[in-house]
Amino acid sequence: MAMTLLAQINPIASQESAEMHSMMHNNARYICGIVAHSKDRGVASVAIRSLAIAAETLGTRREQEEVLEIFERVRRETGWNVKFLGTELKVKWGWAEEMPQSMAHTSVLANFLPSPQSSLGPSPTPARPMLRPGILNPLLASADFSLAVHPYQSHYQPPNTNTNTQAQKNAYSFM
Amino acid sequence: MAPAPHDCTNTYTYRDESREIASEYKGGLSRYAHLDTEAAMITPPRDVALDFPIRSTVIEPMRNAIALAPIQTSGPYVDNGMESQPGSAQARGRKHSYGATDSSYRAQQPSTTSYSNTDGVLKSPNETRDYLRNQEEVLFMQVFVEEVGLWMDSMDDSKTFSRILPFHALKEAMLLDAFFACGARQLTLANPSYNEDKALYYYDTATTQLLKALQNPNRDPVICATTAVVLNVYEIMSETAMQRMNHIAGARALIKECGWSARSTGVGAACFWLNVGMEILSCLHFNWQVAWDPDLWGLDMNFGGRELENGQETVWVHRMLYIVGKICNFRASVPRFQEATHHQEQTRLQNRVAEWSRLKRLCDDWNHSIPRTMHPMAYLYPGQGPSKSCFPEVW
Repeated sequence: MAMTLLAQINPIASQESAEMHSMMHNNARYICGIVAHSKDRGVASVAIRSLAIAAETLGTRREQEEVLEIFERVRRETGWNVKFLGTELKVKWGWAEEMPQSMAHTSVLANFLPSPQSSLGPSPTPARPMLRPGILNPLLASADFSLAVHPYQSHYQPPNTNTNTQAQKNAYSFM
Repeated sequence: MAPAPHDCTNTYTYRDESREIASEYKGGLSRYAHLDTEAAMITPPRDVALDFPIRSTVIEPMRNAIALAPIQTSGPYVDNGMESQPGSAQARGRKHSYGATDSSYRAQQPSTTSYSNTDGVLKSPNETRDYLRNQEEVLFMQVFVEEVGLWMDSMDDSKTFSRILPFHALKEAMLLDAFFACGARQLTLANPSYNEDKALYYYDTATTQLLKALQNPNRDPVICATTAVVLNVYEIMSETAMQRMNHIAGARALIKECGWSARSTGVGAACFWLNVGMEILSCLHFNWQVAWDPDLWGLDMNFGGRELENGQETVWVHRMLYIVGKICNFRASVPRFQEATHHQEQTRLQNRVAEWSRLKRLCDDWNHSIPRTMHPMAYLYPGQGPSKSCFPEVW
């Protein structure tokens, strides 16, 4: 997966360059081959994401359909919800019957995202700008009790720090 | 970089077992389903912990044999004595396994902190007990261990969530309820007609207890963080957004508060790697930058260390997670706007090229350094074996 991604984001060589093209496709086919024949239910979470990344690069209908079958098998065997992945991929592959890409992606995110503030008050609708790529993970950006806005806002009391102030400083110093 | 395929035509045979696995899973599910969930209402256990009216041969071995080691973890926070078992963490490594009798067994219960009933903490119907005796609870715990714990522990050699923590949870009501929530939720995923009320009930109960605990400055931080991690997993498994309770961020904050990192061991390590692993998967999906910078995990990326001799696979898995995290951030930071000057543009490009090359080198080095056991054993071209797949078979 790492190699597939790297091939897609080479700053000077485009994906169409021979070297990046083969790097991307070889590794993508490796991923598909591993996941297609894996019987290990425990690695499903990583397998799903790896396959989704690899599958974006597939060009033939037969390969694409097999990937969708693999996702369905994973769903049957593990319970992981992968239906939305099929939708996303079909859009990326340009299957004519699917809706425009921006809508598919946004609707998936809207389902996934909880309240953006991570607080326990009434939650506003997630703002659209929060869904754009490239930003710092919005779900975890404020996941730190030292911040003014933090998880469990209404309930959290700092732990007894009589013996632990230094320890906490140590804990945060390398984070 | 694709390794050369092996020529295994003469030596390797393959059998498609995916159907077998699927039917096995269904069979497993029906094994659970025969339990009459209507009748298995939640009942308070008949016994108060450790106060059995009848001492039988079944019970005695339980009380002597379950020399459950205290929850093992390490980290700056814990080392200063806030853990449940002061002083014990460093003495033991990650060697304990469930059911083992330890000669240095300490008679203390795992939870001796002031997170106790005397603080007026909400008591769930599920009080602490020595073992599960409620049909429904057994069902949910089994499903948790066999289906959910399975993937939570996929990068953990000690199998902390599926083999160790359930025993500790017997004494920690909110952790136990969190496990039940995940087990119940997993059943609804596997069988959409299965009612989600129980899952919601346990999730609400565990969350309520956690929130109550967080109000107490003398709480057990390890149990709180672990409970939040399990409730985070519940949220991952749930299909709809959690509007009010957000354990995704809560688990991360509590893990940081405990000082857990790539240097932790035991429960701390299990929680840390699960948490950063899940973050990376979702950041890859949405093309976000990971909130916990991999360079700040405290991970040893020196490939020339001792683990080469031991062939320790987990270390290499963690290192690949680091590499993927860095690549994820690199991808998310692909420039979207032109720099103001050509010079700045060129500088940025050079920096990007340098970083890309470094990441590529890391991948290659990793590939060259991992133990042989982490490389594929077999490679069959499509059509070479009985599989109808159009992809190679890599095993």
